Amino acid sequence: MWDRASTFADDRVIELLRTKFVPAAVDCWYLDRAKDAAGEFYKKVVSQRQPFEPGKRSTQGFYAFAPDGTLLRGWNNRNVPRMREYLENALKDFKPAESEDLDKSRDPRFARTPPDGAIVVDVYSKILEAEWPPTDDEMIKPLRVSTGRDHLWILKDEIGSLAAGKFPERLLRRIARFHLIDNTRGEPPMWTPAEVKDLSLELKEGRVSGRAKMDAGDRTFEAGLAGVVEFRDGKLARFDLVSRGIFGGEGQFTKNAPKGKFTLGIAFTLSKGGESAKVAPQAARDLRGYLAP
Amino acid sequence: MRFAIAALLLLLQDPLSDGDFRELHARLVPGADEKWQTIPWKTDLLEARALAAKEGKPVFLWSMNGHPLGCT
Repeated sequence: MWDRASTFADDRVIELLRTKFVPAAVDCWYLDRAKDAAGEFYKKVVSQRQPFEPGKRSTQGFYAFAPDGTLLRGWNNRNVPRMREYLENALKDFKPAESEDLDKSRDPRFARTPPDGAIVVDVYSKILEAEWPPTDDEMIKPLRVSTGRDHLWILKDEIGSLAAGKFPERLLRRIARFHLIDNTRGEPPMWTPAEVKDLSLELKEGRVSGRAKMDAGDRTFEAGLAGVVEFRDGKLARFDLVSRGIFGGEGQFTKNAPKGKFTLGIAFTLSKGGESAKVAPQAARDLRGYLAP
Repeated sequence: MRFAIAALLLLLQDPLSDGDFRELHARLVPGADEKWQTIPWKTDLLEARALAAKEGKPVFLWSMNGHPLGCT
């Protein structure tokens, strides 16, 4: 979220990436583990920057490399002038050359595509009101206004239930456990089934209303839900949902939360497609748990 | 203190009204014109590699725990 607001909002960085590179973005959790050509190629690239030691060293970072896997520059610093410098230096060292084709088949344990007939929903989160302690830290300030992003998958049979005027219980649990979360500052902890204390939602004549309450002891969220579900010509044409409530606490990777409770808003809307819609839900790392919460 | 009172009122009030819903949805869903979105990101490493080979360009890879485009 910090990078989107800063590093990749710089005009020179954008120009370089649009015209001189093929830019790609990945979740290293999958590539660190995948036993396929993509995973092996990824390891080949990143291990030129530092030894590949999963569990000990993160492979997070920025990598400029030739198609044959030769690393031109590897770094993990979001400083914009440094980004420009490293990109320009990578270009100076780059020499186009032949590279072999690689097998595109994927390790099925880590391949993630929506199940047949599923629909992708964009999910956005934002802290709406909070008491923030004063800070001069320029790395923290953007996190206070950042938008968290994720995707929700609605499965084919769940779409059928919605069409019949019933909000499926499984979908509601998926929303509550994996999407009514604070991901505005990093990878969020999800709610376990036992931490969902109260969950109710009614779908009536296309209008959704409900409430949710989750409590993990050191994290809590109590929220109202409202929305609209519409079908046209037998297809789901609109799935607009919002949640607004009071959140407390933070996770291991979502530090620097406001002090005390704060108002968190979350919105859902049908994805318009495109490359980013291919990104699997964060919680789909445990695919079975995500599809059957 | 003011926030605590507002929070309590929020909890006690009825579920979100239609008006609340429309206002919130518009506020939370960002536009599609953010600068980082003008970069033609690929989400598949090997697809990016193949395209780079075809176009005679290097690849720039943004790798994060949690997908940079779709999570957090």
